[in-house]
Amino acid sequence: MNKLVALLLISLFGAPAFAMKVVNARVLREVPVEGIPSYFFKASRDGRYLGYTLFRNNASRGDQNHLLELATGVIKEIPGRFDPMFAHDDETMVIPITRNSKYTCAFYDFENVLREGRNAAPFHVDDELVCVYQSIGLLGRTEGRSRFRLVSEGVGLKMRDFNRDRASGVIAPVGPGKALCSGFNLKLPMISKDGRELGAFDQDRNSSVILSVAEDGTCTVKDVLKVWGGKMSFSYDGRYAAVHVFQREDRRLVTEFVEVPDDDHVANIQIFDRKTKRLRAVTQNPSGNSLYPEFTEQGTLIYIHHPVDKNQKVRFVEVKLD
Amino acid sequence: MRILWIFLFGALLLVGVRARATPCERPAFGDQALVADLQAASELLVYVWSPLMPLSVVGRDELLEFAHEGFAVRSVMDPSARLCEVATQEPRLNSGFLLAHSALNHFPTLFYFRQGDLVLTLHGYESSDRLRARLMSLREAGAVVAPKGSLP
Repeated sequence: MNKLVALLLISLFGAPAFAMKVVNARVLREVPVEGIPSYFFKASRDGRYLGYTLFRNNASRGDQNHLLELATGVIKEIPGRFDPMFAHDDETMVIPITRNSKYTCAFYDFENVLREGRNAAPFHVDDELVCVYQSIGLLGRTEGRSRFRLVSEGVGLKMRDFNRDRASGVIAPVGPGKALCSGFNLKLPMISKDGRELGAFDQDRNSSVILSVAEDGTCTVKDVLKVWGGKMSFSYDGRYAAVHVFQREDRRLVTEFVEVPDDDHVANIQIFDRKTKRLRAVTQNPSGNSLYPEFTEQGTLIYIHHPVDKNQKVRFVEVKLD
Repeated sequence: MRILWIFLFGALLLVGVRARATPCERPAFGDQALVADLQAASELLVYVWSPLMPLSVVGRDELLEFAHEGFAVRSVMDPSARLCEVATQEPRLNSGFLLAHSALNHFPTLFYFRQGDLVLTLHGYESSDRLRARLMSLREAGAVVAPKGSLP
């Protein structure tokens, strides 16, 4: 009862923190997950599958990537120990693997991953980029070919383009990797779905930013979101960008009066409309963390929610934004 | 109306007395502990990590190298109660100062303090070579770098 009263009072006193306009977000489904998934995950283009890592122990020995089919709840182990990525063409995944003591980007045929699970073998392993914080955009696709842009932050930001022959499945890099956004002090990079823009945290501007990416790897700031956001996700039409933001104002406001559980640091999802240049709240959690939002091609948003009550399961939530 | 506000404040105080929750037995790393660390070391690295972000675990192991290079190193864990049973001696994050400086934005987040001033907040994993270059550059810059915040 006291907890309910506390949460009610937190919400009332936290009202200034929720002054941001709220998007009308209709929950389409909530899918609880067994075990403790890592915070970060990614969704396939159609939102049918989610790739995430399941925590096994605190030394990260034995963590394993998994694939969840949202509609059925079927879970399958897939290769790698962190950061599985979908390449938005429904045919390719990119997952870091360790080779010669180095993180390397491995390309997998998605159908093969569905069939073989963690035993799937990559059909291509990039020989240049250090596969840390990798993300991949689809530059274009014809009947015969898909063209990708792979970005990673292994030894500084780099990008490399690839062509994949859709008939044979063979993939080949288009030249060597290029330095990306030189001169910027960026962290947490995420390429847009079309590979032409980059979302990142700008250490110098102290804000999440969006930059355009030229063919030679030079970048230009397009939007400064003025938030400390987590890894960014772009909508497929490029109009919106979503981040999670940890809110501190509500805790500071109430810590003189109410002792909240001291593991309760609230994170909410915010969406940036690049046309209106406005941030909107998608979630308004009084507690718990909604994190790492990801757009689907249909325009829905999927995020992971970690309730503050450890006895409640972590769940994936898909919302439709009006 | 005034009576309603008085009632509300009274209720707050009452709830404040009763609503305390310590869901985790793991010791907390709060502002007092941070100040103590800052007083003990001229250069301090505070590394906030989580078992639920695998690269942050890798970075934590690599960070220990910097203890031999003149930095005091403090490793602090994700405060989530979901991790209470994780077998580690490390304290969980509970510093208002670090939280207000976006400690939870991403795991890992690294804070670099020099002479009690915060000179760098770094979100995300960085290889030890790159991190070393970044820290040494800041160290050599010395007082030229504008501090980004000090504890009261």
